[in-house]
Amino acid sequence: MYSKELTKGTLQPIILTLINEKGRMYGYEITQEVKKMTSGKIDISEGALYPILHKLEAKKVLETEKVFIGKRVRKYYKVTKEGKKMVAVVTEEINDFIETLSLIFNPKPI
Amino acid sequence: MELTEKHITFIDNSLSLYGVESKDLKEDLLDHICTYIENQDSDDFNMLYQQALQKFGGYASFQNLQLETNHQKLAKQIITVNRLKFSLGFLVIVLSVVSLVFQMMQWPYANAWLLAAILISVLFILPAHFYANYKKSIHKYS
Repeated sequence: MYSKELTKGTLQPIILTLINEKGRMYGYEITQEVKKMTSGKIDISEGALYPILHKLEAKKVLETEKVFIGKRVRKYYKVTKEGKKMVAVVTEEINDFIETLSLIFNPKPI
Repeated sequence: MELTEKHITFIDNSLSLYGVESKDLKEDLLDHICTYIENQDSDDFNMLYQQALQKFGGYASFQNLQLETNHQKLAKQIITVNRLKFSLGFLVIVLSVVSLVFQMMQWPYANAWLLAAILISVLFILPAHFYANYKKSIHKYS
């Protein structure tokens, strides 16, 4: 599993991209899906997940849909129309970041 | 494990007890803990509940999450107050300039414009400024 220090800056793009791809997701589902997709290498802690979701919701990048499950409420997060633009920007930025990192860690022989 | 209404009420009450006040945050945490427990094979509620808490980092992390939520709410309020202060400040400048021009040209109601500028400053800008400072100080010591 990667250290928190290493993954910290990439959590928001990961969460945003995942929700955008799946359409709508709830908190627990996000943590499990990321764990499954990365074979447990990235484990989003609950303490980090919800502040990010709430921050994105406050910025109107995400919106919520509440579904009652018996006595409790499940909040599904969805990317808003405005948020789609942010997803595109974030995806481009993260791909560029990966390429830049590979220049340092996997330099091509001259 | 299948959760009963009693279990859900217990988790809900514990969250309140350990400082989760925000409705939105509580809904998220409650569903997260319940889903975690429901996805485990064991039938020992107490053990699974403790496991779920440990995954969150203990009770202290609930308080941290609530503080984080309060901080986000405060930041939003401060931005709104600052926007209001900026708009009203601009209006005060406009009114002051208009008042000055009216005085120079010796047109009527020059003092009325000046009075309006002073009233806006005293009744709206200053209270908004002190309110924002008060909110910041409460958050600092919470």
